[in-house]
Amino acid sequence: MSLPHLGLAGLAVYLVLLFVIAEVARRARRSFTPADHFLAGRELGMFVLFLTLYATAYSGNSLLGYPGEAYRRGFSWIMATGFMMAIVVVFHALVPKLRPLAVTHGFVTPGDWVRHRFRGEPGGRALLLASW
Amino acid sequence: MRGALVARRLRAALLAAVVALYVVSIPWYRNAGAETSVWLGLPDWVAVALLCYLAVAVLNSLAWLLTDVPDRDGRDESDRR
Repeated sequence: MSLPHLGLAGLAVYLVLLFVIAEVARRARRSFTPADHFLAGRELGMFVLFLTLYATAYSGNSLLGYPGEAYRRGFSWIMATGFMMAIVVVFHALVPKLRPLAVTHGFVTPGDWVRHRFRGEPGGRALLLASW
Repeated sequence: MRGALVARRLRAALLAAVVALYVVSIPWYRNAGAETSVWLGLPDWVAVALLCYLAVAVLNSLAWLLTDVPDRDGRDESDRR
C-alpha cells in the first residue's frame, strides 16, 4: 500500500472513529442545554480540561505550522514560541475576574460575557455580533 | 490575611519578572549583522530567548499557584439578595 493510500485509510478510520465517539456522546447527554453540548455539563475532569484548553490555545497551528515556518524562515521564528506562551500569561489579566462572573451567571461562550456587560449600552449589539 | 498580602505581592513580582524576561528574550542588545557565537548548539541570541521562555514557563506556573480565583462573584451574589 502506497503512502497516499495509507494516508487516506488513516483519514477514513479517523472519521469513522469521530462518528462513533459522537454517537456515544449523544447517548450519554443529560440535557439539551448549550452548557451540556459545549462544556460537557461543566463536569470535565482536570486532565481532560487541560487537554481541551491546550487544544484550544495551541492546536495544530503551533504543533505543525510553527515548526514548518521555523524551518522555512530560520531561527528568527523562535520568537513565536514565546508569543504563544504569552497566551497563558495574559490569562492572569482575565481569569481571576472573569471566572467568578462566568460561574455566577452560567456563561458558556465569550459572547455571554459581552451580552452581560454591554446589554442595553450603545453599540452593545454590534460588539456582540463582532465577538460572535 | 498577611499571608494573602504576601502571596499577592509575590505574584505581582513574578509577573513583573515574566514581563522582564519577555523584554530580554528579544535581541535588542545585538547590532544588525553582529557575529554570533554558539551556546548549547544554538546561536547565542536563540539560546538566550529559549532560556527566557523556559524561565517564563516556570515563573508563570508559580504565579498561577499563588493566584486566587474565587468560584463565585460575591458582589453579584449580594446584589441579588
